[in-house]
Amino acid sequence: MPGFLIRRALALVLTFVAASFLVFAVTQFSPSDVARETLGAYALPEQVQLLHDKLQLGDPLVVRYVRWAAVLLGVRKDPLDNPGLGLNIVEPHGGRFFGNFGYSTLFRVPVNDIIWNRLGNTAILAGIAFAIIVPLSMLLGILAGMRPGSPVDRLLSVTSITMTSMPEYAIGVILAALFAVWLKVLPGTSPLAAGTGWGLPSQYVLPVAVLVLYDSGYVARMVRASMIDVLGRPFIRTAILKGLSRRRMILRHALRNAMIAPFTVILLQVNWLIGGVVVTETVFAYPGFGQMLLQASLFGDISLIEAATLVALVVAISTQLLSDVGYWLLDPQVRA
Amino acid sequence: MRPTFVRAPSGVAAGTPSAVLSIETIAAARPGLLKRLPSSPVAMVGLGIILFWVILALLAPLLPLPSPTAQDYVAIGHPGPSWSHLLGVDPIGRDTLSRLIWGARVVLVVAPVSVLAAYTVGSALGLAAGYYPGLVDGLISRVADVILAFPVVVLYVVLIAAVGASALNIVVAVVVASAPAISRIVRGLTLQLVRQDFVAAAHLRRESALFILVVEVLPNCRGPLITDFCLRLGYTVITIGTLGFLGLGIPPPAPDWGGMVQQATPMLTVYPEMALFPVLALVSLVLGFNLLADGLNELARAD
Repeated sequence: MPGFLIRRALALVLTFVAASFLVFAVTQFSPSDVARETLGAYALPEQVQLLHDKLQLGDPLVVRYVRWAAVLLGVRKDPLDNPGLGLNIVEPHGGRFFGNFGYSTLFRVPVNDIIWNRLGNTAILAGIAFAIIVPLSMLLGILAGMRPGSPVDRLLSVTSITMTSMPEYAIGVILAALFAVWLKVLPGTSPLAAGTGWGLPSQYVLPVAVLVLYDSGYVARMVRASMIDVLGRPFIRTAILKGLSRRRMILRHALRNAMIAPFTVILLQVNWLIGGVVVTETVFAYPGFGQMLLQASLFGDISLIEAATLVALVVAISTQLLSDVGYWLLDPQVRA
Repeated sequence: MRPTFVRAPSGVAAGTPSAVLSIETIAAARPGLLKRLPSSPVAMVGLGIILFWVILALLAPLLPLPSPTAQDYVAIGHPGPSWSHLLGVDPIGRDTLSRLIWGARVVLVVAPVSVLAAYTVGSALGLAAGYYPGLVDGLISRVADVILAFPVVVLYVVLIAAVGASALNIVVAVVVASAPAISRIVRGLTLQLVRQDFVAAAHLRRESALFILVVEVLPNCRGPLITDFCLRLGYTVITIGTLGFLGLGIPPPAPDWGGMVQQATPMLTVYPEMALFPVLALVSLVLGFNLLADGLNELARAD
């Protein structure tokens, strides 16, 4: 077990390095660069060129990547954080520290000042959604999987295949038209002004509903498949033959085994949710992480894109690791 | 289990060795899955929806529709459905029905082309990784791991925002994002297939690696891949729509379903149908692909 986990963790660190380099390389295709964005649209080409040279942006890609990584690891200061440039950009947390993502050219503040606040907003949204998705889809999946072909099962199949055919923004538009426009019972947007905290609880209903509808059909189908698979195994037949009641057979024997495979699927849904929030937050104007990533990407704010994708990767990859560990704990066969 | 009928294609003399060999390879690889399609009502409904959009898209130039980019300034005041604009107009007065039908052409070309391109790249990588264990496999699998670690939407947003929105760049982004997953499936199938007798026989005949992979292994991967292909088509339609909605899709003024939703969303509280029509079009097409995939899957499992 420890050997397996250490190898997994090492592979993850390598994945981080490779992925962050990949993002760094991709953003280089963007027509704008840090010098132009920092100085704004009205700066003269000569001024931009001067800053471009001072920041050594003409250096090879790998050199600039290593420099960026050095800032992140706290070895160097952010090159923009230099009084000699006269930009008045000062990192309030001190120049060198681990996790220095640099300066956002879009929001004109250090990346660390914006990203965690936005991530918190998204965590609330995704957390509520997740807390509904997991029990709901488990319940539906178990009910459908207990009697394949029953009305409950048919209904679940039809609903889930319809829901998986709907992009998040389609669900969002339909729900908003239904509840916010025609029935007028819910607000159609979720504008949380900075520092206002929770806002109206009803503002969360529609975005959460979109995420829940988008995701739970898929998870329920996985639970159903696993349930059907387990119920067909010999030890269940033994349990029935030995005279156990159906309720006892399902609760004591089937459920535990049927939860092993969906466990991984459920944790990997976190990865899906990160993608889902990008769209959902855009539909409902929710000031979260996904909306920020989209704005940063459209603007070409390299520091913010790098920071956001790295944070998204950390979340995605650590849930993968968690699912590996959980799988290992749940299924004794893997441990052998 | 099931009788397999080997029929000589017209124009090829049955009995010549080369003809028999090729027919048998095809017959073994495609166990009539597509021929038995009519026996699955789910698949037929899916196929029907897809054909509906394909036919509309093909007929677009012949239908009596206004141009998808022409603006009717008079209609902007009352943009709802009317006799002159059956599904209404968009916020700048362009006919919604016309844009939907012309938009179907865009999505029905871009989605299959992207998925085919992703399949070409993904299969080639998967075959190579499955056939050459060691360095080649390690390299391909690690790169695939890195790309698969990204949340998919994040990958699309970062890629398209950097390289710019165009039909070609969408194809490239779909290839980058989907090829690793396809290569994983093909690699797994290849690993199983290369251990089988017919591959050993090909080795004995001293066939080249390319021949073995393309003629012996690849056709046998077809069964599991057909379902995945349909699902991926539906998913790519969603992706193209999502990119359009995020402002990263086919650039305006070309009619793009996702872009239509994006332009109509600010008017949602006043004219919800403006956004609902393109949403319904997109959902119906994706549903078509998903139903077809579901039906194919059931047929394949019934074997």
